[in-house]
Amino acid sequence: MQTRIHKLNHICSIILAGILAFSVPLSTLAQKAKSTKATVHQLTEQQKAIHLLDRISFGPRPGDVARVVQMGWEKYLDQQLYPEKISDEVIAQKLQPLSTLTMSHEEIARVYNPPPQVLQQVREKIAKQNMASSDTNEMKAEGKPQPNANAVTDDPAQRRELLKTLAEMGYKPRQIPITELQTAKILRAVYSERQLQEVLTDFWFNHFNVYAQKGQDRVFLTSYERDVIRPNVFGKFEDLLLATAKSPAMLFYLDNWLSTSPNTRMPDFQQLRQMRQNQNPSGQGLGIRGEQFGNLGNRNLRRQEKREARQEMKMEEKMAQQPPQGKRTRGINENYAREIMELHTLGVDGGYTQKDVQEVARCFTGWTLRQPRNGGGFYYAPFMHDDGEKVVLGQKIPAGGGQKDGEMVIKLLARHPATAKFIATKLARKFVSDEPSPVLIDRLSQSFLKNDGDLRAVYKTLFTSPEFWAVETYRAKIKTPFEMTVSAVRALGADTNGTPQFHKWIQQMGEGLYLAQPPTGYADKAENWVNTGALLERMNFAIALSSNRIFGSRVNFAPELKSAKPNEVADYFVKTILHGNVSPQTRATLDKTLADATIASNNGTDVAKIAGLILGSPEFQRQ
Amino acid sequence: MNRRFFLKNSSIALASVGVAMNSPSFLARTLAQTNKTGRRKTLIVIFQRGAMDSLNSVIPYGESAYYQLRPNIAVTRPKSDGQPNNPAAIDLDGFFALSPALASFKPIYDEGQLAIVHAVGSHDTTRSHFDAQDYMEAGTPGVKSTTDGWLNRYLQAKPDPKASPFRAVAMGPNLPRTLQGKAPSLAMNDLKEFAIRGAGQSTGAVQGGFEAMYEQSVNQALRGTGHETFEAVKLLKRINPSQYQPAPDAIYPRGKYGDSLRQIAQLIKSDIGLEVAFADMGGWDTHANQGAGQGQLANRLLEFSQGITALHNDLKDRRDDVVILTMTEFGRTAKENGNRGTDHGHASAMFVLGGNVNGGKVLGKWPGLQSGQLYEGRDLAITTDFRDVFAEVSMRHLGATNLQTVFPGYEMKSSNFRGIIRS
Repeated sequence: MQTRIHKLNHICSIILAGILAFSVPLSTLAQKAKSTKATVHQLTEQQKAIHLLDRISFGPRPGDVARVVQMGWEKYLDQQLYPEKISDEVIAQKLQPLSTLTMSHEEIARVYNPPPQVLQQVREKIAKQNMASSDTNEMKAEGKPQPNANAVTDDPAQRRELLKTLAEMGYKPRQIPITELQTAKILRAVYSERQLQEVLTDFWFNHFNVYAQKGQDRVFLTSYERDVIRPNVFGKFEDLLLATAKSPAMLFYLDNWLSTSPNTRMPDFQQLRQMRQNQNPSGQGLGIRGEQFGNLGNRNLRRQEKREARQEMKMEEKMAQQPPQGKRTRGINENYAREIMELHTLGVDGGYTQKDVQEVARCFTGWTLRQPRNGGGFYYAPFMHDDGEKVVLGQKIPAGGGQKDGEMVIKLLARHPATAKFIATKLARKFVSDEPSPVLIDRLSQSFLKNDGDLRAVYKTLFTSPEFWAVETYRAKIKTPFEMTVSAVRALGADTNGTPQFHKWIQQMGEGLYLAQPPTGYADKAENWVNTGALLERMNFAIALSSNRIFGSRVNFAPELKSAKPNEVADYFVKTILHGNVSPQTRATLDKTLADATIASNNGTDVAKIAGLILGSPEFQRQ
Repeated sequence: MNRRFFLKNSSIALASVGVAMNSPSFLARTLAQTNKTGRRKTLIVIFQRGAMDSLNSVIPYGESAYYQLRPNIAVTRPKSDGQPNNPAAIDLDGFFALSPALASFKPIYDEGQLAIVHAVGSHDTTRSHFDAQDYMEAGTPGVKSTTDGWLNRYLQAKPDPKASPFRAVAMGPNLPRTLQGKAPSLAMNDLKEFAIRGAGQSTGAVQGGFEAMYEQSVNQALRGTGHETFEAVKLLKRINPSQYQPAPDAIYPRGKYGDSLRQIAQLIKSDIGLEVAFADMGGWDTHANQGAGQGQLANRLLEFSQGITALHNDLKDRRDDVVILTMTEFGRTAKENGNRGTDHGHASAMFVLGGNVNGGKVLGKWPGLQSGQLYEGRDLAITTDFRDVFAEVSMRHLGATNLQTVFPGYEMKSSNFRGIIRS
């Protein structure tokens, strides 16, 4: 009876309001409607906190939203923009056991990358043993190839033997540096307090992508991320660009280390010896190919050089995984020149020509590597350089510039308006929406140019732009697999050790870490991540994570949840994981599922399945 | 409306498409399509990663240079008395012979359902596995920034709004480069795993819950893809992957490669709209001790050919609709190296099988193995650009029309086609 009266009163008051509304002048009404619309189309403080955490971190952990609401999003953003001021003890401790993270590329090569000579010796030894054990004397006498002498690289048993022998010699498995990088990336995303730095490190690594499985790059990648990308993500774009241009990882990945002036003049012997002493105290080969030593004056010395070069080449040819580059060492290689313009700076429509590609390639000749097989780093080889005059994007680069040619190209490209626009577009797509507005792109380009490519200034412009805070932007991006998996761990307040069992899931959804093959890196649009197989893996990951079926990852739900009713548990997760962002229809659907006898059994509520349903729901795929 | 009438009508409707009550809607579409337009054409691509030594697989025994270049690893001439440890090659046409490890190909060749394209590859000079595989899969030699693969661009160029989620399937954990791109493609390790897993007795409830939530998503991409995902899951369940029995004479080799091919056959025979299938096989990088008629390379060739022959036999009734096409990133040096192996070279060979294949022939122009004829003085030269093979198969078998977008920057001339598919 009581409630009925209440309801009646309520209805009456609505009608009354309606009548009153009609009695006010139309103009006031219109004004009111307008202002109501404006307030409706603004994010609440809570939504702002969720939005910022979704975009500049790997998703909120329990308590994060309230914390940001309390301190104000401006302050949180400001903190994140200056990561050096944020203490980050937890992650430092977690990364401690990953010993390769602090090694130089030379060191990694020494421990994880046995030189070709060693590999070959071990292979031959094993092959011989195998022949001896299975061969007939007759065949040995004839010197015929042993029919079953499988190459060590292909036969699993021999491969095991190879690894065992190498381990006895002190070499560790060569995939370890990459595995540790993958683990570190997952751990940092989950645990680091410097979240924006990690988001940006991921972004810029992907922008300047290098593929871990291309030959020696597995040796170079650790220092590439640590010394080239991460220290520069809040700095000047030009510094970042230059650092990547000189990085062994990029020089190897896009072949610039092989690029040689076609009319190269060989240095005289004095010069050669000088260089050897200066740059390679160990006194081994120069790390470049014999063909380049054709014009040495002294015949004997030339022979010696050739012999050494031949030996080196032979060794390299023997490396199963390392193709001999053969004739590619002679002449210009345009790969890097093309990609630095198309993918790193100007963009494909940035107004450069094929002629520009050729000229830029000439500028970068001689930017090479000292013995990449041994993890050696960047050096400039004057005799590989084309020292003639070049014209790049209409600008003359005078003859005789040497290493400065490449540096001038970097300067030119880093400040180019097309670069500003290209970088602005990529940032806007990453942080705002798949199809960012031209107005926003223009504002970011201006900021880039005005601030001389100061990336922190561009980020500030971005994160205070109305487009970033627009209602349409809220939850408009689909998480990438990496973002989805990591944000799930964070949302549950779960723990992970980030080992390959966790990475396997990310890889199965198509975003294997450090495993993007093309120089474009991974795409940053929903269409690339939302496909049948990958979507199913997202749901399966959600169930596996919440059910503690991923080795090395663990979530502990509050014990009292088990005795709560399924829909109460769902309420709890909708609040803590989705922050209430769920439509009434979806909520109703969920309740229907929860009525299933297997979810609410006599043993209590299946909390893990409910959490899994929420993490695998379409709502959780959005940010 | 009375209940009896309703039941009667619906049972007629269902009987006419021949599917059960809860069948996914696109299955009905696929079947309807099949009935109208005949059976769907399928292309099965097999990538041999690591660079197959074509000269010890399809042996130019008519060239004396072959035996001079390979004193230790040459395969014995056909019709000669092969040693038990070094069996002789199998003659094809008086000039070329098959490795004895490819013996199961010989009857298919004789039936005219296997063609070989020799001296095929990419004119790009790279000898890096990474780059060459990349170029072959992207279909754009020399251009690294191509984001999608040529097989995916084929799917894009022939849009099929009613396509099944199984239109393009790669067997393996990741989508290969050649299927990456805008057109939906599926990578699967194992058909049995394509399901909601790990939910135990709640599997039904959890799957239903996910399905219902995705049906209601305001995000169109998530809603659409969610719908397709669950159609695919339900469909596969109906196929019942664990119950599959290949044809009696289809004996797949054990291991991942054989499993992949068996599952491709299963998908094709299930009529679920498969158009492009992809599988790969490693272990071709034979730098040392590669052997001749037996040995390391022969072991790979044996597994390779047994798998393909099993697939060919398994699809006996459908050979006119299916083409199997093999490829490898480049060939190997014509001369053997100091380790009785071969190093990275240039041209290689492709095998093409199918009912409409212009088989029983080694196609393409033979460039020769004399020193002046070798590419850069060391490798088999290229006389057929791999894109011409891909293009011909796409056009004459799958019915592609717009090849310009599939192979951008390449001027396609049907006069360059090798006549692989009977017209």
